[in-house]
This record gives sequence, C-alpha cells and structure tokens, in this order.
Amino acid sequence: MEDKKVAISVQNVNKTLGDRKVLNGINLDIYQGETFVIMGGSGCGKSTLLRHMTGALVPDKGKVFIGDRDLTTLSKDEKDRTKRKFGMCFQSSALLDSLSVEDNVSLPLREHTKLDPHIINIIVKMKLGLVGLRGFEHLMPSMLSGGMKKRVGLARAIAMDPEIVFYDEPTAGLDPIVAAVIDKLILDLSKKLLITSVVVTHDMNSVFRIANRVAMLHAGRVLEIGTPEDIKNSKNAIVQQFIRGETEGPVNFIDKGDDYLKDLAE
Amino acid sequence: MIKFFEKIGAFTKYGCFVLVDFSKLSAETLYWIFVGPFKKKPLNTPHVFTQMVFMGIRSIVIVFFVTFFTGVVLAMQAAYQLAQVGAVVYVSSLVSISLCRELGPVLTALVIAGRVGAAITAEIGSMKVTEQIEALETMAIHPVRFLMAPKVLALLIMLPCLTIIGDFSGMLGGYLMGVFNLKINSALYIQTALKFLSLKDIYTGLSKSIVFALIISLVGCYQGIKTREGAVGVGEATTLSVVTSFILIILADCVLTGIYYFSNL
Repeated sequence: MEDKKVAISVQNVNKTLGDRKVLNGINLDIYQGETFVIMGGSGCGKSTLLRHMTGALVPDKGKVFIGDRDLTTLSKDEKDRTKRKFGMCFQSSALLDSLSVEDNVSLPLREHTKLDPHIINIIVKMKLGLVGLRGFEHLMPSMLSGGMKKRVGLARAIAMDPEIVFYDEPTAGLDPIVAAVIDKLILDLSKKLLITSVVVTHDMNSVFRIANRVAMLHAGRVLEIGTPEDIKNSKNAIVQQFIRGETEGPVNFIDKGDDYLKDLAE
Repeated sequence: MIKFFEKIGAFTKYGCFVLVDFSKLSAETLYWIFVGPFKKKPLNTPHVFTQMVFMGIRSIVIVFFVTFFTGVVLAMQAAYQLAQVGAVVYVSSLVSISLCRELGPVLTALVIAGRVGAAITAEIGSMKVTEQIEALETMAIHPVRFLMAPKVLALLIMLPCLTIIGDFSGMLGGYLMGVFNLKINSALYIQTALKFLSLKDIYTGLSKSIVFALIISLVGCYQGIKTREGAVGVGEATTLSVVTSFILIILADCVLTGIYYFSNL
C-alpha cells in the first residue's frame, strides 16, 4: 500500500455541529484504487466525515485533500470541477423523484458534458446494466424498491466514470442477498474500473467482504485503522465490542448512573 | 429587563441574517436567469416550460373565478353608492380602473401565492429533507440554477399573463352585472369603461405583478431551501412561505401604489 498514491487525505479535521463536537481531529489517508471502509456506531461522525470529503460540509479546522487539491480552500468553480471526479451513493438513494430512472442517471452527463443524447442513452443503458437494472429506464423512483433505488443511485454515481465513489451506508435496510449484491458491485467497480471506494457502514459482514482497509471511528476520533485482519485482532475493547455486537463493554447504552432515580422522579 | 433586550437583540440579529441570506439567494437566482445563459450555462429549459404550464395554464380557472366574482361584487357595491348621485353608468369605469390598477394584480398574486408559492416551498423543502438537494450539489449541479431559477423565470412570465386574464375576467363580471342587472346599455358600458381606462393603468398594474412574481417565487424558494427536520419542517416552511408572501405582496402593493400616486403615474 505504501507506494500507492494518496487519493484523499483528511488532515486534523474538526467539526462542531450545534453544541456537539462531532469530529475531533480526524487524520486519514485513502490510497488510489483501494476500498476503504469507515465504520463506527450511529452518531460517531462517520457520515459527517464523508460529507467533509464530498465538500458538502466545510471543517471548522483542518484540511481535506482530493489528490493534491485542498477542498477547503478551492473557489466555487474549482470545487465543482473537483466534484465531477467523484460520485456519491446516498443512504436514502436521493434520486430526484420528479425524474425517471433514465433521467436520474443521465442527469450529470447532460449537465456536465456535451455528449450527443444518443450516446448518453447508450451510457445510461450500460450503467444500468452494470447494476443489473436493464429495462427499468422508464420507471419513476417511487415505483422502485429500496434495493433498486440504491442500485439506481449507484448507477448515477458512476455515470461520469468517477475516480472516487463515496458510499453512505450502501447496505443499510436491505435484505442480505441484495446487500451481498451491492457489496459485489462495489468490489467489481473497484477492480474493473480501478475506482477508489470510500464506504461508510456499520454492517460488519459487509466490512469484511469488501474492505482493503478499515478505520474505526468513535466519538469523533479515529480509534483504529488497518486491514480487516488488524481490526479483527485488535486489542481495543471498543473495537472488539463493536465487531462482535455485544451489549456489555466499554460502550454502554443502558444508563445505570446514580442520577437515574432522580431523573425518573423529575 | 435585560432578558427582554437580549430577545430584541437576538431577533434583530436573526432578522438581519435572514435579510442578507434572502438577498444573496435572490441575487444568485437573478444572475442565473439573466447573466448565466450568456456565459454558456443555460437554464434547464424543459423545466421552465413544465413550470409555466403548472403555474400558468393550470391556474387560469381559479384566477378566472376569483376575479370574475370580484368584478361582480365590485359592480354591485359601486352601483349601490353611485345610484345615490345618479351616476350608475360610471360603474363600468370604476370597475375597470380598480381592477387593472389594483385588484387584478393583487388578487391574482394572492391566489398564486397560495397555489404556486406553497407548491414551490413544498417541493424544494421535501427535496431538501430527502437529501436530493445535497445529491445535486455533490454532482456539481447548482440547485439554484437547476431548480430555483427556472421556477422564478416561469412565474415572472406567467404572473403578468394571469393578471391580464384576471383583469379581463373581472371586467367581464362587472359587465355582466352592469348590463343584465343594472340595465346599462352594453355599448355605453364598454365605451365608458374604455374612455377612462388609460394605458398607464394597465402597465402600472402589470409592473406590480412582476414584483409580486419575484416575491412569491423567491420567498417560496428561500423557505424551501431553509427547510429543516422532516415532514413537520416542510409543513412549517410551506405555511411560512405563504404567510410571508401574502404580507410582502400587500406591503409591496402599498409601496408601489404610493410611488405611482405621488409621481402621478
């Protein structure tokens, strides 16, 4: 991995949302062509971190480099140009519900390229073919199941042949078979198209299926970073509790503090 | 007492923030409508036309009914007063002038604020809460250019058109009332109506409708894009959008009428 080029570099990123410090000095390097998984419990800041990498949020402190360009200091036009290099697959798919499947996938092509509509049509068909949705071009998003929407979202994310694809919980809320299909898609895309994939998830099956490297986030910090094997053999109690999904451990959801009774009485 | 002043301070600060924010969005929208197309970044034309159909064509019926019956009511009320001085024939000019200068543009704008302004906010608001706006931004597609500017342009074109339709249907209402109930001769009614109606009455009315179109569409877009927290947020934003539009329309009408009145337009 060491000789590989860094695709994304997150340096000392801090972010406070409301009065809660969500990210607290995050440092990460993601290499070109790898599948990098960011995992952690709900509310640990992993989606927020992803939003910093896509430029949707600007850090209070720190830098985010895509290649050699610092997203935090780019002008609007340059930022837009950088954004065209990546695709994003949203947790809620975020398809435009007023547009058909075909129009959703072709949208970035129509907006950013001067390609002939006929060629755009062919590209859309190919991308939908890649995610196994050929023949669904004319349906509206409201007519699709959750898994299909995710796959259309994925087709849209790769429509512009991006260098980097971000996935926000791609398998959340899907049945195990569709989840495995999505995982396979992510792997295929990385291998066939040499795409750098950044996946945010807390689905442990998925993590060990797709990851080249894994970062575990906890309370706005990177707790551990390494290959799936490193994570499996980690000595960190929080990491172990998380990958085994145990209720007892350093992370406690059930509050048994002394003020519990007082709180109830209030 | 200090708390009271704190509240006033916080309110003023928030008000200034909203004002600056709103102005920024407005400037950006107008930039994409009037400057963007010359910099090789044209608007989403099919979207402009779909919106024109939705905002314009599909509003004709409601605008017709509202202004038609207002014309009828206006004729009756005017006749009630003018009969006392034996000048019932002037009902026609009163109806036509008050419709073209005032009621036509304002009533049409209020109807459209309720129908279209609410729809704009609800659409953009639900797109905001379902991450669709963020998806556009991530694809480097500017939501203001892609979503808002076409809506604003569509209403800028359609509201004056609807106002003209409103003026006519209001006058039709007055005419029917005048001819069939007040027994004014049809030709005399039309003649009196046109005699006192000058071109400036019509264009001051239409110039108002352009300002109202900007208010409705920009307030709708602004409230939509500022929507927060799910379905409740969308509902609140929609209500706020309509209420704000109503107040601003009446306020702008007052200011514009003042300007026209004092500059003898």
